[in-house]
Formats: sequence, structure tokens, C-alpha cells
Amino acid sequence: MKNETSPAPAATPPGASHQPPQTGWRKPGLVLRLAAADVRHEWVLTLCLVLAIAAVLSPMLLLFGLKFGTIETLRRRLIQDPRNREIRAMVSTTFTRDWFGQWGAREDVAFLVPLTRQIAATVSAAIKDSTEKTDLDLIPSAADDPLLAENGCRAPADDEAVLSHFAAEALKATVGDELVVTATRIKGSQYEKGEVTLKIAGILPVSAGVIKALYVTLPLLENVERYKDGQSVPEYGWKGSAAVAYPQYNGLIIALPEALGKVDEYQLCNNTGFTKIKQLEAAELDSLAGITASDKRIYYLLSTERRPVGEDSVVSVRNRLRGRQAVLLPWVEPIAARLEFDGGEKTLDLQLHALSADTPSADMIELTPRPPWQNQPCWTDGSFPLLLPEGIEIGDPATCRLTVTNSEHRLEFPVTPMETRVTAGARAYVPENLAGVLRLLDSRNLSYEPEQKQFILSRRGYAGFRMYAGTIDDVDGLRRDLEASGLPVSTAAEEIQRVKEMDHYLTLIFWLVAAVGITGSVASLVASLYASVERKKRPLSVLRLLGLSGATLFRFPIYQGLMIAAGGFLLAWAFFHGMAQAINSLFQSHLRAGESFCRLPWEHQLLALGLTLALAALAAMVAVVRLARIEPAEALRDE
Amino acid sequence: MKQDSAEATLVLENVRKRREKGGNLFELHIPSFRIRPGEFIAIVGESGCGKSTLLDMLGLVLRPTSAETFEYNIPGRKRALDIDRMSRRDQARVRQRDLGYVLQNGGLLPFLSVRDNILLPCRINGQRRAESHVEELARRLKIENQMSKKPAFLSGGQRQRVAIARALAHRPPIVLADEPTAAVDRLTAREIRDTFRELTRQMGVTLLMVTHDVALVQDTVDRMFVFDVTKPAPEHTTAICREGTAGEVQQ
Repeated sequence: MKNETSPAPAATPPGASHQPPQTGWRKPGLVLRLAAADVRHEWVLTLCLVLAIAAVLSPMLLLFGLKFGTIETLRRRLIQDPRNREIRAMVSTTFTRDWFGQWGAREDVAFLVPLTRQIAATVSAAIKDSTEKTDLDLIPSAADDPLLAENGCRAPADDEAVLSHFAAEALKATVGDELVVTATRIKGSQYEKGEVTLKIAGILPVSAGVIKALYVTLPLLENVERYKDGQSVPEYGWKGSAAVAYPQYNGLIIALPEALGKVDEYQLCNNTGFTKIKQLEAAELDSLAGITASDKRIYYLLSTERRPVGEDSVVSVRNRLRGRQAVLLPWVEPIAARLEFDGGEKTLDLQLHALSADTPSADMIELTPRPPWQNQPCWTDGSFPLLLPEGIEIGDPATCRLTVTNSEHRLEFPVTPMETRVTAGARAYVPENLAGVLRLLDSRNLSYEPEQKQFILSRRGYAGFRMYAGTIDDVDGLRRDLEASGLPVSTAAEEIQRVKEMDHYLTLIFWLVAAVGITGSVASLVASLYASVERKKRPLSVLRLLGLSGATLFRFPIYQGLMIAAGGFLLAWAFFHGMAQAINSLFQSHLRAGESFCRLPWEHQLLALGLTLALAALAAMVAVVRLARIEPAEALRDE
Repeated sequence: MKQDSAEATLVLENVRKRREKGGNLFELHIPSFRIRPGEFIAIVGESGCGKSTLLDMLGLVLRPTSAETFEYNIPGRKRALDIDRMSRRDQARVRQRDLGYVLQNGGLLPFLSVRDNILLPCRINGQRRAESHVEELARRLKIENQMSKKPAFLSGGQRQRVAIARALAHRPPIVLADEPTAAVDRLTAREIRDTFRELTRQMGVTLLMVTHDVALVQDTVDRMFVFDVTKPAPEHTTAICREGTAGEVQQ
């Protein structure tokens, strides 16, 4: 019987054959070349299939490109458009510096700048040597202003301005022009004018806003407001009154020969601005005010619960203690200051204490250190005396400058160090009224005006603000928080909601259309490739007869499917790019830099190619698996 | 039996194939079919007698329904190859290395040139430097001037010559030919027959040729197999393959 002695041939190692071992690596290349030769040979059919696939792919690519381009453009505009991120106050109220500090520090606030009163922010402007005058709104800006940054303008410097589109149009202005800005005020029955020349740093597009506006720095705007309020602005040579700073004290030390009665104590706290009175030991003066004085006197400290008091409080206490030989020493908490000297090369950190300017009274209570200054107020002549501790060598007293800072502001002015020195550690002393002015920095911003040698009060608060949320998604949360703090605001929330909804529905409709399109594309792709494989029955059978089998043979139609699909994709891709370019150039006027109506990112294009090829391979595989079930003999005898 | 097997290139004992198509049953029975190396065998019969079925089974593209013995005993191979024990991969390997085919209409790949068609089995087998052998074959078959053409531009006779060249290109021990001269005129058919026979003899190739044309092959072949066809029922055909003579067929 058969196979009695012959071992299982399946166990025969391939190397046992009489022919050299199979060089299997040749086959993929061979099959690929065969598939390519067939595709080339039947180029008409190939072209038909390529066209068929391109015909279904290109509208799909175009549809996705349009969806991606337009929706992305819309969304970017929406997210980036500062107008949609802007939050405006609905009421007019005063916003303090603290308020700006607090809200400006929030992470969801991208930008916050104070606004002055609207009436004070209107100026007229003209290009230098031009007669065309236009009334403009001054709007404060600063670094990172989204309205400017998103519209391609940098923030203006102090001597620069950015114009809105319509302002530039009315002025016939171009970037780099010099703009003369005129602020007017009525004094008595006369108009007064203040002029300042600014350089135009940029012009905003119309999409940034339709008002006629001039974006400038906040200090410039404040100067205009000051001028309109009748004050002087020496920087621009604008004349007017000055808001001179006044001293402010944390308390008042009283030295008396004898103790006060309860009624007297009460009287000193009644309607004087002070609310507390406390008797001090003479020894306590050192730690409190950096001074020592005769222990033959009784000392009191008058102080307040909250805000410091002014000169008038000191005067009213003085009046109430008239005839009692009282010595009044206005007290401020020590002030941290930095002294720069020898041309700014050296610096020294100091704790400044107030020292009485009233030398006779000081002598009466044996005040130490003894005040070296005589006249009062001693700094009206513009020399601000400073009493320094021992051991500090000042080379050139004329170049000494003192700097005092509060949370947001820095005040710098020249000082004159006294020749006398005190033995007082790191303590330094200034006249009490100068110390009081420096203490005012706690609540007000001051600036030193070198022309008049005076400290000028900066403004106290602001009438409004320009606020931009970080993203459109932050807008609603900010609105709620602001309204919870009692400030009604308006936002573009409705607009944001509307566009979000529209985006949602557009996306939904798009996917419905896309689903139909994709289904059609897939069906067409599969059908085309299936049909092409079906036509390959005979060559496939011949190849099988010649000894190609299994996976090797499967590759033939799969390679062909891939080639045809790749060709179709390439054609569709070229078509898509042509169309996209045409569409984008057609709508160019509606687009900003970097935007396009029809666009597919590279990764999506690659994804589309990958999907097409995968589908093609799948379709070919389905077809070839079905073919493999047909007995090759049948295919061979088809003819 | 074992000795016989060693001598014969092909041994079939009691091979049966049943096919049902459209309610018609066809049964082919091959009681004994032994071919020695280098023989020229004609398998002769009318259409529908099962000669192509036999050829397909020999070509390993059709499996027998049952077989007592179905062995390839290729010279140079250590062992006989039994169809029952062969995996599809093994079958493909036999088709690839040990068999050559000449199909009815050539079975040429339309997308390859004549030269590439002929070289294809060599390439599939990874045989390099087959070109000179192929050129020689082409010269012998008088197709040396057609080598760069695509098969579509050849006459029927030329196509069959190309098919013969392809079947012999990789030097297989066995060549199966299915009506190689059915579509050409008698003169050409004789010419092809003679060249084919001469080439196979020189190369020591066993040639099995299926044909309905007894007159063409009767003087050339070593042996002949014929079919006894009976119809026990209208829808039932049985065919028994056995060695016979030209005279039997012509009757």
C-alpha cells in the first residue's frame, strides 16, 4: 500500500531538495514588479479606476478642507477677537488702585488698564502741518493690549499713539507721521489749549473697532485729564494749578509737663481725627519713633484706628492744648527708603523716622537727636534735608537721591545730607512734614516735580477700565465674579454663545453630509478595486500555477489596489490643492494673514491618504479571498 | 509496488474524482497511471471525458476525491512526494520547481513581454543567469525575434511556442501540456509538436500532453491514455482512464 516506507514529505526540510534553497526575499519585489507591469499594461483601465477614485476623493477632501478652514477661521476669530473677550462696566463708579491690583492679578484676566472720565478723554488731533482736525477719543493702552496685539500693532510708548482705522482715515494719517494732539479747557470765559506731539506707531484695521480713537499710554491720558481739570502738566509745558502733596501722620506724640485728666484725654480724641490716646513711658519713644526725650515729661500717643491723619488734626490738637506747654511730635511709622549717592554708584537702605522741625520745642524736652534744621517747612526751598547715622561717607552731597516705593509706584527725589551725624544705628531722619508726605505714598501716588521742587499728587482712582479675559471661555466666569462683587458688566457672552451654537450645528450638518460622502466614497473605492481584482482572475490563476501561493499571490491585487488608490489620492490631492488655492485667493479680501477658507493640515492629509490606502488594501483583500475559493482550474479553463 | 514507485516519476493508483455541477454527477476513475522519467505521454479523449480533470490533478490545482497512491517521484529528490501529505505550501513548491505548464491558449501574462513571460518561472525560482538558456530555447522555438513583444502581438502559434519556452525555462522534470496545438493549423501544430518533443527529449523532461487530436500525436508518443466513458443514468457520467492505443480512440 501507499506510503508504507516513505516518510512524511511534509517533514522534508526545504534544504533537502536538489535545487538551491528558495530565495524568498525576491518574491515581494517580483510580485510588486508584476503588479506594476500589469497596472502599466492596462493603463486605460488603471486611468479609469484612478479617475473614479479621484472623483470621489476630491470632493471629500474639499469638503473637509472647507470645514476645517472656515470653522477654524471662525473659531480662531472668535477666540482671538479681543472684542469678544472684552468686559465693560455698565455703571460709572470709581475704581481704586487696589481694585485694579486685585483684578489685574487674576489669571483669567489677560489685560486690564484704567480709564479716565470719558469727558476728559476727548481731544482734537491733526497731522503736523495739516489743517484737518478731528475729534478723537483717547483710550489708554499698555504692553500686551490684546486689541492692539491681535491686530498687529505694538503698544505705544509715552510719545507715541496708535490710531483706529477711522481716526487714521479722517486724519489721512500714515504710520510714522507726527500727530499734534490738542486738549482744550475753559478757564473763566476763555478757552485754553495744550498741545503735545505724538508719533503714530500703528494704525488698527477696521475690524478692531469703528470708533475714532487714539490709543495712548495711561500717563499721557492722565496728563490730559489733569490739564482738563485745570492742573498744570509741566512735562508738556501746560500751565495750571498743581495738586501739591500734603503730609499724613500715623499718630501724634504729645509731651506735657503733667498728666491729662480723663476729660482732656476724651477731648483730644473727639473730632480731632484721632481716635485713641495712650500714655507712653519715656523709654518707649525710642522703639516707637527712634527718639529719646526728657523723662520729666508725661508722653501720650494719639493715634487712629484706620487711616492716617493730616496736618489739620495736628493743628486742632495743638489748639486744644494751648497754654499747657505741650510739645507735639507728629509720628509716622518708619519708612523704608533707599539712598543713592556718589552719582548712583552706592546705595544704602535706610529706615526713615520723622524728626520735629521745631527746634525750640525740641530743646524744651531735650529731644535726641536734636533737629539740625531750623526753618519750617524746611523743604520749601527745594532742599530736602536728611540726617544720616554716623559712619557713612558721602563723596558728593549734590548727587544724593532718595527712593521710596509703594506697591505700584516709585518716588525718587534729591536729598541733601546734613553734615551732622547721629548715633542711631541704621536710622535716618527727615523733617516730620517730609516724612508725612512720604507716608502719603501708602494711599496716594506722588510724583516729584523738579521744576517747582514739589511733590505732586497723582490721581486717586479711575472712572472705568478696559478689561480683556484670557479666552472667550473665561468671559462668563469673570462676568459672574464681577457682578457678584456688585459691578454690573456687559460682555459678548450672547455673541459667544450664539457662535458656539452655530458652530455646533454647522459641525453636525457637516458630519451628516460627510457621512453620506464617506459612505459613497468607500463604496465606490471598494467596488472599483473589487471589480479590478475580479478581472485579474486569469493572470492570478496562471501565477498560482507557476508556483506563487498564499500570501505571495495575495499581494498582487493588494499592491495594485494600493497603486490605484495612491494614484487616485494623488490626483484628488492635486485637485484639492488647486481648488483650495483658488477658493482662498477668491476670498482673500475676507481673510487675515495666516487664515484660509479651505485648508487641511498635513496630519489630516496624511490621515486621508492612510485611510484611502487601508480601504484599498481591505477591498482588494476581500476580493482576493473570495477569488482564492474558486478552484484555479476553473479560472484556467474560462476561455 | 515500491520498486515500481522508484522507477516511475508519477504513480497514481485508484485515484477518483467526483464532481457535481448543475445536478450532473461526473466520476473519474484512474485505476493505475505510472509514468517513467522522460516519457512522452498523450492523454487522449473527447471533451468532457475527464482528461483536463486528470491534468489539473497532476498539476496540483485540483485535489482528488480519493487516492490510494498519488506520488511524485522526482529524480534527485530524496523521497517521493505524496499528495495527501503535502501542505498547500509544498504543493506550490512542486508546481513552482518541478512542473512546467503549457496551457490551451498559452496562459501567458498579457502585461509581460515574451522575454519576461519566459523568464518568470526562473525568477519565481530565484534562478539567476537563466538568460542564455532562455535565449537558446527561444531560438529553437523560432521566437527569438519576438522576445520584446507583448503576447497580444503574437500569432496563436507563436504564443504556444512562448508557452512551451516558459514551461521549459526553469528546467522542470515534468511538463504538463493542455491541448497546446488546439488553436493552430495542422502544419504549425506538427512543427510545434516536433520541436516540443525534441526539446523535452534533449532535456530529459517527462511530457504529458492532453489532446483530442489523436492523429497529431499517435506516431510520436511513447504511450497513450484513453478514457472509457459510460452514462449509467442521464445525469451521471463515469470515465475510466486506462492505457490504450490510437486505434481504440479513433473507433
